[in-house]
Formats: sequence, structure tokens, C-alpha cells
Amino acid sequence: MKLIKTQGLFHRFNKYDENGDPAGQIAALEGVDMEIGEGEFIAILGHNGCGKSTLAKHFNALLSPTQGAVYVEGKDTREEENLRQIRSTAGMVFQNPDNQMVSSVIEEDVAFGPENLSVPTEEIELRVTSCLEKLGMSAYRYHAPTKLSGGQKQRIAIAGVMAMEPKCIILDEATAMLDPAGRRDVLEAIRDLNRAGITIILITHYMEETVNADKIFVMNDGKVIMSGTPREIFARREELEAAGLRLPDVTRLGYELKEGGMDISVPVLSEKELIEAIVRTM
Amino acid sequence: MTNITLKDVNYIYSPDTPYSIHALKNINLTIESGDFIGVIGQTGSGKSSLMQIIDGLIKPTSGEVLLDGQDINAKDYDKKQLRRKVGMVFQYPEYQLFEENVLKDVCFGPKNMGIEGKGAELKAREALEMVDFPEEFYLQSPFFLSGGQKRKAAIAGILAMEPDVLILDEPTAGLDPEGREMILNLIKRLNQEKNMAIILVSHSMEDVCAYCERVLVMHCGVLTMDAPVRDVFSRTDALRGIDLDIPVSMKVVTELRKRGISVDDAMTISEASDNILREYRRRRPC
Amino acid sequence: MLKDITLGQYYPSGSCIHRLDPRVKLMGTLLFMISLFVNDTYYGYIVITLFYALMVALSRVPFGYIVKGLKPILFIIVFTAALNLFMTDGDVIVRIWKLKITVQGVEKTVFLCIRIILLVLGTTLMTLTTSPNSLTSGLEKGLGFLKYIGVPISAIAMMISIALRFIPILTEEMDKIMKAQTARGADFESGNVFKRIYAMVPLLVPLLISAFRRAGDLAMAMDARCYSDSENRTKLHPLRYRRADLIAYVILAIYMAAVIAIRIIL
Repeated sequence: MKLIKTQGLFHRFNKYDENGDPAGQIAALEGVDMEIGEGEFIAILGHNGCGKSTLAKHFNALLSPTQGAVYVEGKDTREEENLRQIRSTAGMVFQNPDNQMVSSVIEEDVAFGPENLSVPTEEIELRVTSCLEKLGMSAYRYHAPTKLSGGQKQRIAIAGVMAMEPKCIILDEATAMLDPAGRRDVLEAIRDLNRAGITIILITHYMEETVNADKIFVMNDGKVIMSGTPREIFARREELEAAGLRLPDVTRLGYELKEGGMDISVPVLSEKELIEAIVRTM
Repeated sequence: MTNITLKDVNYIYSPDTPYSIHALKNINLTIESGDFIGVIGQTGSGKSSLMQIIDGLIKPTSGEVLLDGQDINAKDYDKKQLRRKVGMVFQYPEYQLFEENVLKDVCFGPKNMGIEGKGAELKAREALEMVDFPEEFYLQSPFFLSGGQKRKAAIAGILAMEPDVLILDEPTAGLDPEGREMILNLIKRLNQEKNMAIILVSHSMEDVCAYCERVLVMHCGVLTMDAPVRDVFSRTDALRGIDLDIPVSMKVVTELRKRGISVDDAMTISEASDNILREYRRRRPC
Repeated sequence: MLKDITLGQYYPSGSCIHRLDPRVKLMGTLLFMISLFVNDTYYGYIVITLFYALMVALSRVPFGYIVKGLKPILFIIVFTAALNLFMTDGDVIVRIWKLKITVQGVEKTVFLCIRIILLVLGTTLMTLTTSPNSLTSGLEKGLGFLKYIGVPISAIAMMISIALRFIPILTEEMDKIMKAQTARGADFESGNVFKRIYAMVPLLVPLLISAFRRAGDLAMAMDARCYSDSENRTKLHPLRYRRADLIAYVILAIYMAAVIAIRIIL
């Protein structure tokens, strides 16, 4: 059984005019079929407004399909009684680090999820300790979130989700508001978690963040327009540009050198790979 | 011609308390019309404080900020003059929109400068045209616009005051690639066509390299470098030493040199490709 | 502006008062307030003040820090004092124009001032020694009986702790918006009262919108982490009475008995 599966998923938001009267609908998702297996590192790429965040909210049952269905571990997100199970299986980290922290003390924030799931006190204590440890944030246990950097706050948010012992973590543009150091921090943390067996779904518009994914889905206008390994996706340069995305600089440099007559196999995914290729052809 | 000069500027947060932070240390700096300056440094290095000092939003603990020779923090200085000449676009500027429609919001600046009615509207329309804001949205509520459009409207709000110096703090934060290019190209146009001095605070070394002519490097409150962009980014080890990224083009070039392939410094991807290809062809005389 | 309010600012010193169960401190504060109103003699005030001084000493919070809590209510104290001083009938001591000061008036004023000051100092000591979080959980548990009459006490406690979490964020945001609008030439400082109120619009509208956006985000994040205000939530740090708490209750009982005894005997 696949961990997450969507079947002909449609989502439409009702649109309202300035007086609050209904004014038609906006189609956010138009027929998405997707399967995500356990332990995978998935990236969902697309420009702002392509529907990727709406899709993410379906994985966590924060939205209910207008048409079609989403199954998390075989459980239908439309059924009210499945919500708890689904949300503790597929945890979610959001974009704005400040707006997802409930408590003024780090440890209490990490404990929030398990508290809601009625986990016994001693067990919560253990989970908080181990999750803070895993994310390298133990030193901040008794701190207030206001003193932390953006990257640290997102790591706390991830620890908070981990404390619910999920199988999968969805990062809904969780790196968009961070500086480069913070972004690196968070990406490193989720790669570690993935190695430990957690399924990762990374939603982003930065292509360079998706290089290490097992599989990439590219979205545009509410549809999945491409899917494949990073190497397969990065090879479809024109289509990506048309979908409002930009190749990472290394990959672009690789293409330009090839066009200039150098024998470099494209797409190039990392600096190391590019350097080796250049040295070889020189 | 506008000229901003900082003389021995120091800034200390909440002085005389245990929380005091020496945010800026002995900054000396001159900015002139037509400059295109990039400001880089880690979060907390003092970049934002420096920008707020230049725009007179915070007062230096010691030292002077001179705008065309006049001290902007002097008691009898007319701050309106400063606001008119120096514009500042904060991070996520769309969060400052408040009027019922875009046009009215953009009028806010000119009106505060004492320009009434039609005059303010005229300036607002000019500014909105400058940022390519679609005319059919002029009378729409700013809150119903897309992220990119909101950002444009907010930037127009500053441009309507017709500043000679424009400070932008991470103007592309949170935008997708198309939105980023749009904003950066707009800034470049303002610099070239209006001779506006631009001060661009950015975490993206690629953007700074591709657009700026001069770069200020902040580290722990000290202005550690103030030099043409090429000079700054050729010092890759110094930048790495203070935990700053260097652009991919420079990373590749320096790595190749280490491997015995002599390639010139490159600020952009296309420059890097040109330089590498030149070396490639040199080694292969036909 | 917000920095002046000591009320609600935690001063961590790790003293034995800090470590008491928040329910004890809440009950203690309540009893202290009651004792102020039960008492009607100067002797009583001696007992009350001594008791308060003992608590301050035990808490290891600098007294100067506590007194700062009086600043915001200074006006109220002066106002009520003046009102009582001049409005009480009785044996006249001084007469200034149409106003008169009486013996009874002076007595009443002194009493009232002591009462208000001790009242504020008492609650200030509680908030200085109890972190907002433990105060909230103390309220939640201490007032837990209210849920039987349909008061959603857990939800209220959650709201309070979220409010506490977002006060610093919104304060910072307000500062930022203020600077952004100042950069656009807004003037928050000059003009008459109406002009100043009107000048707040460019500040308050964005702040309000931001607060709503944050609230929406937070609600979704809480949903995603399975929050519901049901009774089945467990706690990382559930409140449990320890020996020190029981001793504190005994001390409180003795104190109350003493105050009541003074009232009855004298």
C-alpha cells in the first residue's frame, strides 16, 4: 500500500467579490493523480500559485477534495474519524516559522502534538528529549522562540511534528522565508530524517533544493505536468522555464558549456559533477 | 546630485542595559547618485541597522549622517527633505499596505510630502506605470492582489515620492523566480534610466553579483569591505571566513584554478561560461 | 511603552516562591486581597505588610523592580486619594477656597492608599514569580470546576497562552510597520489629538490584517497537530502538589486567621 495516494483530485475555492458575495470559483487543483511510497524523498516544484500548497494541505486533510479522493495509508481524508490518524501519520511544517508555534517555551511547543494525542506524560517527556536531540536543538529546550533564528524555529517546528511520530513530514514552502544558512540547516535536517526512514515531501519553488530528491513532481496550473528523478526533470529545460521555474546555476552553466562545444553530459546536478566534467574535457 | 556621507557612525541598542548590543561600529561611507550598491552579511550583522541609520529611522549613538552636507539628525533639520530624497522599501513591504485601493495607497507618500489631490494622484500613476502595475487593478483593494502585484504596489508607494536614493531590504524575499527577475530588472531600470542610487540588501550573492557595481560587506557590526563587486567576490577565502556564500560562478572558477585550469574571475553564469570556453579553445588550437 | 508594565513580566530567580505550584500562588494572592478588605486597623496593616515583606524577601525579586509595577496606576492612586481627601465630611483641619480637608478624610485617604498599593504590589509579586505559562496552567486547573457549568476553561487557557506568545511578535511588527510608514513620510508625533488618532490608521490597519493572517495560519497549524479542546489532552508538565505547596497553604491559613483575629479582637 502506498503511503499517500491521490485519485483524480480536484480542488476549487469559492471566490468572493469585495462585498463578500460569491463570484465564481478558482480552480486550484485540476485532476491530480499521485502516489508516494514510504521512505521516499519527494519534491513538489512549481511557481507561486500553481496549486502545490493546496495539494500539500490535502495530504494532511486540512482541505477536503471538491472531487476525487486522497488516501493516507489507505485512509480517506474525507472521513471525519480518520483525521487524527491521518494528521499524526503525515505531519506538516508551514512557511512562516512564527505562525506555527503555540507556546512561549520551546519544550512545550514540541510537546503540543503529543499532548493533543493524549500521550502519557512520561512518554511525552521522552519524545521531547529525543526529538530536540535529533534536530540538534537540545540546548534551546527552555528558551523562548523569539530569541531563535528562522532556521532554528523551523527545526523546532520539525521537532514538534516528529514528536507525533509520523511516517511522513510535509514541508509546505518551509524554507521560503529563511536566509541561506537557515535553508541549508533545514534541508540538512530533513535529509537526516529521510535517512532514518521518514518520508519527506518538500514543497518549494527553488529547484536547487530538489537535487537530492528521489522523485520530483512539477506542477503548473493545478496539474502535475512532469514527474521523474531530478536528472530526468532537469533535462527538460524549456518546459521548466515555461512553467515559471529556473534551473539551478550549476545546471545552467553545464548547458551553456555544452552549447559552447564542450563535451559535458547534461543535466549537471552538482558543482562537483560539473568540475569533474570540465576537468575531464579540458 | 545627492550625496550621503556617514562619519564614524556607531549604534548601540538599548545602551546601559544587560541587553545592549553594539550593532554598528565606526562606519564611514559615502553614497552618490547613480551608485548601485549591494549590501551583504549574515543575519544580525548590522545590515538592517545600517539601512535604518541612513534613512534616519534610528539615530546613531555617535557619529554623523550627512545628506548633501546637512546633518539629518540635527534638531532643526527638516526630516521631510530626507524622506523625499531617500526612499526605503522594507522586507515584505506589502505588509504596510492599508488603503482601500492601490492608487490611494500609493498616494500616501506624496500626500505626506504636502502634495495635494491631483498632484499626488499624478505622481502615484507615474510610479505605478514605472513598476508596470496593470492599470485595471488601480482601484482594486491591495489585499486581493497576488503576492508579486502586492509587492509592486508597495514599491510604487515609495517611488511615488521620487527619491534620489532607494534602499531595498531583500525586495525579492518569498517571490518565485519570475517575480524575482521582475523586481530586479525594475531596480536596474530605475538605476539606469532615472540615475537613482540603489542600495540593495540581499542574501543572494548571485543577485548582488549580477546587478550591483559596488558591494558593502557587513560582519558583526563592522563594515569589513567596501569595494567594486569584482574585488569583493575575488576574495573568496575572506568571504568564506565570515560564513558568507560565494556565487556559483566564482565557486566553479576558483575550484578549476585549484585543479590547474586558469580561468578568469566570473560574476555571472554567462561570464563563467565565456571564460571557461575561452580557456577550452585556447588549449585546442585548430 | 509596553516595557513600563511590570505587571505580567516574569522575573526568574529560581526562589522557593517561584517553585511553588501556581495554584498556591493564585490562591495566596486571592487571600491576600481578601485580607486587605477584611482588615480595618493600623495593627492589621502591620501584620499584612510584614507578611508581604517576608514573601518579597523569599522571592529574591529586587523590591525596586516590584515597585515599578505601581507606575502605570499612579494616576489612579492620586486621583482616588484626592477625591477622598477633599470629599469626606467631618472635622475640618484646613480649608482652601471651596475645598476642605477633614481628619476623617485624611484617615480614609491613608487607608485607601495603603490598600490600593498593597493590592497592586501583591498581584505584581505573583506575576513576577510565576511564568505566564504556569500561570495559565494554574488558572486552567484551579478553575477547572468551571467546566461543569459549561465554561470552556481549557480553551480559554489556550487562548491566554497564545496571546502571550504573540504579544512580543506583534509588538515587533508594530515597530516595523511604524518605521515603514515613517519612511513614507507618515507623522505619528505632531498635531492635535484627532490628527494623531487619524495618523494611527496606516499603522493599525496593517497590524490588524497581519494579526488576522497570523491567526489563520496558527489555526491551521494547530489543526495539523491534532488540537481539539477536548478533555483528553495530556500534559508535559501536569500540576502536582508537593510538600512545599502544602506547607504554603498552612502558612496562608495561619496568616488569614491572624488577620481575621485582629479584626474581631480590636
